[in-house]
Amino acid sequence: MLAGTLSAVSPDSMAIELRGVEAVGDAGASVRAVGPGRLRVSTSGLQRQMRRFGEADVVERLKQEPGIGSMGDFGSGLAVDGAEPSQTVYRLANVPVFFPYRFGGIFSVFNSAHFAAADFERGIHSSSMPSRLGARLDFRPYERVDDLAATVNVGILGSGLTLRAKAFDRVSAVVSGRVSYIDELYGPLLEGNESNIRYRFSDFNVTLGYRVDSINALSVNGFVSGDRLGYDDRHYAMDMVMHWRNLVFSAEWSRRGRTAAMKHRAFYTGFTNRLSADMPQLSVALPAAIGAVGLSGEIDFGRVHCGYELQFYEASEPEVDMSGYGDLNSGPGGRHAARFRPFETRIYCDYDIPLTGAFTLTAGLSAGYYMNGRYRTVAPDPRVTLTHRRGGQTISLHAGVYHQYLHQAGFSEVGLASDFWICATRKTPAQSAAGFTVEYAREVMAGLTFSASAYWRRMRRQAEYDGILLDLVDQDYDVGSHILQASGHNWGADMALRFSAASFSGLASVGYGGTLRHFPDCRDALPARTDPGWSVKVNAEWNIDRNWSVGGNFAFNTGRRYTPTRSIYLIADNLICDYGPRNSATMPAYHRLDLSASYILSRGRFRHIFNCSLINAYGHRNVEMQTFVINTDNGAYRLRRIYSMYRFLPSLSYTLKF
Amino acid sequence: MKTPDLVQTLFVAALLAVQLTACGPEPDAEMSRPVIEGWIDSDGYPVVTFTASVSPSGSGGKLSQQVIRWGRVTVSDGECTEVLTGGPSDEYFPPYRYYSFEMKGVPGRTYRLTADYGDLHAEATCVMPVPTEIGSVDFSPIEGNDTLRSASLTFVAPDDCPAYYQIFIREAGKRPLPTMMGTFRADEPGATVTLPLYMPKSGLLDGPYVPQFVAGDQLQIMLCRVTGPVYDFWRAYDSAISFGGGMLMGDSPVPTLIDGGYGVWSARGVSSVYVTVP
Repeated sequence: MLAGTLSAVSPDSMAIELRGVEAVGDAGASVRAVGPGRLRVSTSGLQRQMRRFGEADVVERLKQEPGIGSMGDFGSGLAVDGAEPSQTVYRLANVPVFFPYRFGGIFSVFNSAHFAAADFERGIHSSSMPSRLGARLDFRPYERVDDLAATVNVGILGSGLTLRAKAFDRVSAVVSGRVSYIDELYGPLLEGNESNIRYRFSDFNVTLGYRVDSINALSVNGFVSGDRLGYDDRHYAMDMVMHWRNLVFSAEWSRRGRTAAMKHRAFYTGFTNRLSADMPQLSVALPAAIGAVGLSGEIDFGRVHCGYELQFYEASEPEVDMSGYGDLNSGPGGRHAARFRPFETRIYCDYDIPLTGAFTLTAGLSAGYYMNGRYRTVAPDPRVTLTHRRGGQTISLHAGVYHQYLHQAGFSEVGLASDFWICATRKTPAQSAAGFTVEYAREVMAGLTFSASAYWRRMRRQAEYDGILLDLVDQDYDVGSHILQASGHNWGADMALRFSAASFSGLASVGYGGTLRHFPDCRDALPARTDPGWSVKVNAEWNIDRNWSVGGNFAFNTGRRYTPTRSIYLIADNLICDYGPRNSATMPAYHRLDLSASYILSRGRFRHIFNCSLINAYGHRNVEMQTFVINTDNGAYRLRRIYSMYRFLPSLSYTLKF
Repeated sequence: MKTPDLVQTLFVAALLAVQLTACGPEPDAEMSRPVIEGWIDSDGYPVVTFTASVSPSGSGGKLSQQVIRWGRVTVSDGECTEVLTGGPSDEYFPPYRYYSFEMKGVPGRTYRLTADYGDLHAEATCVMPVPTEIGSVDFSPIEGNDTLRSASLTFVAPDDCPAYYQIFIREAGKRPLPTMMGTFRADEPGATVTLPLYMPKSGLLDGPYVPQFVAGDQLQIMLCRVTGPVYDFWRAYDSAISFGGGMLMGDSPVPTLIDGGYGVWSARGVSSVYVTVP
């Protein structure tokens, strides 16, 4: 299938200028490089290829790329080149989504079938990169719909439906919904001897488009998702439940004129989460929220690319809503945390400068201003990328400065929804990064590309939280005083071989990354919790014939960093741990192999895809967490390991497309 | 670079990665440090458990071997110093504690503890606050259950707020243990405070934790007024045993109030009642 995009049409003449034609095919690689540091994931290309839990998932596919990890199976965010998951910005139709994660990466928070493609920028960014320090993942809705189309996906973990339709030649609509029923069929598989996990989610997307004329178009995007995670552990007195919800709404006007193309939008994006801990007569709940309303836009004048952003945030730190506990600490309704209403704006501009020979220079500046009460800061962030292209060889050198005004912190080690956002204040100033990225790519032979990259970044004021849950009960507790802001470096290098042909595509990569942080409470430099370590990844997808397609992924990674237990001792019949230096130990190495096979049956315009996949096919027990507990049989202590849920985990799905 | 060279380079690098990181580095082992859990109550006597910490290994080990039986433990109140006597007691785990009946706790005094054994030395100092009287302890039946009762404790906050509390419960024949979620800070003088009571949670007991009270049990319920640092210790302890190490909460560190070691030494202003759960 080919889908062409007419980029600009001159209404005043018969001349039609094509500035770019996008070809999206089902065959070949689903991921391809589209520029320095930039990958494009074709969602239609994903449909035929490797599936996990029945889903053709953009985020899962990106995890096979070098430099991208997720800190184990329990964490589902993307940790890119040693950056925190919260430093990667996920955008839906150019609107940021605050917590775009499902638990355990079972599904992506975004329904891939709803989108035409996703663009991923790893370490080379123009000045249009929003105020984040890490990577960027942009989900692009369909800009036009040619005919009635549908994707129905029925899996044993969840099902989804996407409908695309057009009316009166000017109106188009894409509507998607998904619902999971993981507990019903997989509940027993997720139940351990000492802990029990229950999880479900649902989401809904809508994109409406109206083509006003050949130049102007209007579109509306909406997205809402809700997740519920329950966790019982017999070693702890309380059962915990997390609810989180994302809500995004935007209205956009786009204009593709003769000399300029532009997009302007108004949007709202919000995230709420609530961590509840319950036991008979006592409940503790920590609701937290962040939302933003804003305007943003991009204007392209050929070689000059400009844009603006303006956002008003409202964020509340976790409150404590307790019942069954003394009413003097928290007062009726609990401790009411501070609310922040910061304002952030920036303008940016990039200029593509053709130099002599094969060199191209893109130079830009992002000028940002942030205000939160009495904390005000201006951030002029210059970025420059020099690219040399000759024959099948490209080398890019990027240098840039980045600022981020939102910190994500919390209790979990792997970036779960119990983490909360706090806005930069005078006490917890904006994070920043400055550094270099080098990328090299060379076509070795037809379809085979060798690539290598290296990066170094100076990181300042990286946030980690050192508070405990019960501290939040106090009326005078200040969350900001428990944010540790560390400075240090991220560095790393990787190389990859990528093969792409009509029936076979594959990727093999090896990489190493390191981090160092100077925490205010420690003299020695320590690794960050996102320290990448070594990674080896192999991904292969083979379309055997028109009907059969098989694929497999292997991933090996140095174990996740954690803060080790230095000593244990008994107090009042319970085992207490004293912890060593922060992030100074690693879990056992993580590795797993996923296999997938699909059978595609085409009947007229209907395509039936039957998929069977096996997650962690050789059943390696990947350690997610570990702690020490007392063995009640003999009063001895023992190491208790919590393993990944994914082990010999099968999945079947059926997808109907027309 | 030719393709075979690239593949070879990748392969060697992958092997190197596996070799280097198949086993994550173990944290540095730490020498044992003294661990103190001790208290002296108003109108009561000092009791101290003296053990040594363990640098844990993946294979586990016996905690009972960490008890220190021949240590020298002293408590002084500024006027005199008592050497505590060590002796076995099945109420404790490990089954040994140090005690004395020569020194009674008096509110307002400062008590200093020292503990020595070989190279291990620990010391701590604590001021004993004035106790706050318990107003009442009330039990209520739980719907649908004939044997379990919920309970609450009521008292009036003193004039010299903020006042810090930790509730302990002692079952017949057992040592006193801190109740679950039993820390409380009173900020408003004269306010009537009602706290729910939950049974202590012991890591030594098998089976699920039951926070309610069993009808017929004989209990000593102790409202212990403590200093701010002691309150901070027990609250962090509560957080650690309730949430720590779990998937959603991660680490939950507990501070130490012992110089040279771990644990807590508290001088407690205690008001207690003896009840049989109705």
